[in-house]
Amino acid sequence: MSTALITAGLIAPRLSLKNAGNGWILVQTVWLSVVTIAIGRLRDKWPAENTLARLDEALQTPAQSMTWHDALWIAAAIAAAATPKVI
Amino acid sequence: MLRELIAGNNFSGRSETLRGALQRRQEPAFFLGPYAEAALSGLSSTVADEIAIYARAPQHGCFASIDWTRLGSRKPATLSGGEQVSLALHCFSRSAYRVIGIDTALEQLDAQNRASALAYLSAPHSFDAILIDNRLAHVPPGWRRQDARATTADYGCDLAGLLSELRPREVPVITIRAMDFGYEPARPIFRNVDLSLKPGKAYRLVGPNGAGKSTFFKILVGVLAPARGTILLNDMPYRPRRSGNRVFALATQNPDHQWCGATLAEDIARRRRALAACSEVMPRSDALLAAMARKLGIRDLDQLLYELPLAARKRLSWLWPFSGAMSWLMLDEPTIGQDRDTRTGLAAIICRLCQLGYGTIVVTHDDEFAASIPHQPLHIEDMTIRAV
Repeated sequence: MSTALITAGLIAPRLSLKNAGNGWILVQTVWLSVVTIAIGRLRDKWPAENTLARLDEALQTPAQSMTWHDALWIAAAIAAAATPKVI
Repeated sequence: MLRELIAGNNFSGRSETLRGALQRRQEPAFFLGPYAEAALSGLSSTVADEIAIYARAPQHGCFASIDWTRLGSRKPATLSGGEQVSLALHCFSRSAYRVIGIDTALEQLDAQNRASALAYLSAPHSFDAILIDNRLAHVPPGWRRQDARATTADYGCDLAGLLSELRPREVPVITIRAMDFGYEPARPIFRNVDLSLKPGKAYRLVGPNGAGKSTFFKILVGVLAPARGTILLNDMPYRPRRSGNRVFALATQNPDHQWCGATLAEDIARRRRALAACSEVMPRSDALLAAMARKLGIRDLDQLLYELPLAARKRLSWLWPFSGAMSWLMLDEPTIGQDRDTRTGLAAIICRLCQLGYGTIVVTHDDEFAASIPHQPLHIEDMTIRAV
């Protein structure tokens, strides 16, 4: 995701004021990428392979508690999804 | 033991035919699509985990064109496209699935890995295989052909018409001196690379899956920094990591890794704004870019990119390089998922761009496509890049 934005000159691969200004675009780009990957897997790979059934075993193990890192990313992702297009 | 090749042009319904064939089997089937999101499970954090998810007692021999024990701790997402496909085939060969469906994924493999994969799939194992592949000119022995014949004009492209939209421009010589790079100091990818790339020429970067072809592109655009060495533009130092990329228009292997917005209009506007201060960059007008996009099969700049079929997104990823905004084009596996007519049209455009003075670097495992473009090979071997 960052490859696209660095190549296009929207963010820099180091500390930069440009990153502060365009950081929001990175969050949106990450979100869009996640959606694309999820759509690809949900439509093609997981149904064909019956992946959800294979997850049963993994889901039986105790769940890890959410950290503040997770909460931060979830909040940023929801906000990015809810934001109208910013050009 | 079924071996079936689904043949047809882009948008003829091949992927739907494949999905339908797998659904009718009424048993789970392994699915291998192009790019990581359709090749790998998405459930593992390392290569070893990915293999463990699928591994049962060896069912169908063991396809291992790469030493996966050596790469066991790597994150799957950091593997090259070809390595991801090889890993997925390895996982299938260790799994209990009795059917595999492959949607153009083998086009990402280098010649040796591709030959190994086709030989493995054609061998008399106990599984069934259904394949879509644009580069198979003939049905392999033992396989049967099924034609997909759906017709749609939705994404029809006019690559010949695009030729008249291309414009000449000044293009710098790229010189690389004594460049070293490695993701880890102990695992160098490039050592002491000396290279001169002249405008008006096409270069083909050649090397096996995982050799560092896409990595080289990322160094030139400033995503990665060389550990040592310099890059020069017309003998002037060029530091894309510091000053930003203003020379290379990159079409990435997976087109979804290059968008800067949800729609093409948003993508173009953001690129334009980011590069507004760079005198070397010459973006074309929105009207002209819209006309070029139409010739690539996209009627509306406000079309959501992520709703387009993958083959259409791949074509659209060529728009920015073809627009002439940047002087050097870098195309990473541009023919993946593209039918013969499209590949022929793409080759004609690359030839024309070279005549107009642009420099082009192409990574492709498609030898037939490469042969249709006069080019100089650049071989990645022994951690260096040699012009042949």
